[in-house]
Amino acid sequence: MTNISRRTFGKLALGATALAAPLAAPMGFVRNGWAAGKEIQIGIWGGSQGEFVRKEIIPAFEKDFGAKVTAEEGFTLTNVGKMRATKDSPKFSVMFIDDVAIPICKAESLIEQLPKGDMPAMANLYPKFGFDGWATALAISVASMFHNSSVTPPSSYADLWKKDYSGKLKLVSPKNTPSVFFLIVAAAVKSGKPFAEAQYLIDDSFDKVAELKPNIMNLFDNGPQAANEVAQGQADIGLLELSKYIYPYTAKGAPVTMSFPKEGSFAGNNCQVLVKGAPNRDVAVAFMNRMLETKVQKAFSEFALTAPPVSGIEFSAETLKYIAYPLAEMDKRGLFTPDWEFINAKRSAWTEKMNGIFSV
Amino acid sequence: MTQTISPLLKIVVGIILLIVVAPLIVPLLMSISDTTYIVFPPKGFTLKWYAAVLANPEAQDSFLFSLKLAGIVTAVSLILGIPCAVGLTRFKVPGQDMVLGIILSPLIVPLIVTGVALLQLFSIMGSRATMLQLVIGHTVVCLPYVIRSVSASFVLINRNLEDAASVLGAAPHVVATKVVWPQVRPGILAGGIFCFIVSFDDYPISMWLADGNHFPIPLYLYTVIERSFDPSIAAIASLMIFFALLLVLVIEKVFGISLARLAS
Repeated sequence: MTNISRRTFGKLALGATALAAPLAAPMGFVRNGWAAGKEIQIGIWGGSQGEFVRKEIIPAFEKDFGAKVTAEEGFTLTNVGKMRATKDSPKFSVMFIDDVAIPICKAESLIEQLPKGDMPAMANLYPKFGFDGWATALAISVASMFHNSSVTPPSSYADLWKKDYSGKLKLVSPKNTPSVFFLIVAAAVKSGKPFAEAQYLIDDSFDKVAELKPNIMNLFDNGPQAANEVAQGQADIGLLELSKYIYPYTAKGAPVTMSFPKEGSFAGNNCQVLVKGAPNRDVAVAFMNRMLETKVQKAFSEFALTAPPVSGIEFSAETLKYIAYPLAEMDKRGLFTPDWEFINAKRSAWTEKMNGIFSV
Repeated sequence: MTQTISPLLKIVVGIILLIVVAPLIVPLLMSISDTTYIVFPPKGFTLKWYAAVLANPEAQDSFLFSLKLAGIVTAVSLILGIPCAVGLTRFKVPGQDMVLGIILSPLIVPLIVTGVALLQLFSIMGSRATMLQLVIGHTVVCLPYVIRSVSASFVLINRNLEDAASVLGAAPHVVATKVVWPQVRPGILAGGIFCFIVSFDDYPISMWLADGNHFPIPLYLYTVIERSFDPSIAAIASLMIFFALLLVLVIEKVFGISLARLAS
């Protein structure tokens, strides 16, 4: 019998382990095993974006990480409401909201700053979509006028106040975020100032808003439905809506498309936030990182016809017809993001004024 | 003696029925349009939208989940509601009006407020059981329908018939099954049907409490409308109309109560 010293035995054992490890890997080693068995709940949007997240992104993430992700579809205000209702014992880990709600969530301590060090995909994020570390954009839509393809749209928003458009316009409901864009447009038309300055003049512009009333056929609160109605010729022009609700119809061949008056357009920033005290925070951060990865962003953008907030993605010419990308293209189109902190403080009063004008 | 109905009354009733039914015909027509977006009047003819909806696993899951949820909620509401209605109508209970007021309060408070309050409550309790939350949430809003309907039956019941049966030697269970049950059955059934329909159609409570694994059909419909406003929406709406019609016919056939009695 051969005598083996403790040291020799140790070397043999180490060698055997080193040899066995690659063989055993397929059986026992799981990439991202730290997340296995964990579960997070996330609040996402509805629409085509929600569909893609649920059908494509979540299953792939669950496969790669062994974690379970349960998604609830909603919209920004509902998702903020859910965070508020569960603030003391958070149920959700990640929430998808529009940039309009980020200041509210921050002020109410509903969210926490993102751990940039744990999110390598943030390296490609355009800085303007980082929201000071409190959120990242996931998709950027353009908000502007949409019209029936048989109609020649005006080159300036100011023309919409002309009698030619009497009863031919559909206006977005005050309860929808794009109604704020309309108020900025009205203030810009009245004052002749750019959007960046006009947004602070809204209080003095409701007479201009009221002047448009004879041209408004009705208000809409569902973008896809409004796009469908304009496509059928029930109205000539709709103002204003996000491209993600209009272009899917254009791409299907419906006679509706968007136009971009000379005053400029607005950016609709769909974002993700990390809930404060999120259950399984590590999985939540990994999921948020996954959402920003180039491959995911490319597929997500092509499906929903929205622009990604990250650099370095190649799109086909067909897709580029519908999105403003890269950043230089967004800047070229003058995509304006309002001062949401200022607007949020005034929005309920403005909503009441709008209701007063259009409900009579 | 049968009363003759005047021709004018027939015309008026006909017009009213037309006004009620006409909007239901619109989605039926839109659902057969051979276009990628909704148009009215329809262009062409196709049943592909029905095939697409019926073959869609998401739609199937949501529909079956709603059926299951509404079935459980109806059973729970009847189990809780019938004894409650009996207690409130047949016994002197301290704080009776207050109890009734609390039970009926979900009919007064906006459902969206009830929904968010329930979400807050379940969050504080640390509950993650979505199905249980939905059953509780739906039962809270469905229970008043059962109690109102069943209470009305018990109030209108002829107590003399029970006394007569007892005096003539009928055992309590015989009185309950042979005398009381036939009189209250329409009320209980009506309460159950209301309960089922309210739960099946509920959006505001489910919006707060549901999740991706428990996704009732009204939420699914809303998300589909947001995704794409194509004729499949009209096809789903038409299928729901057919389902409601089928429900009424089955109830009429199986339980043998006339619509007139339900409405009374």
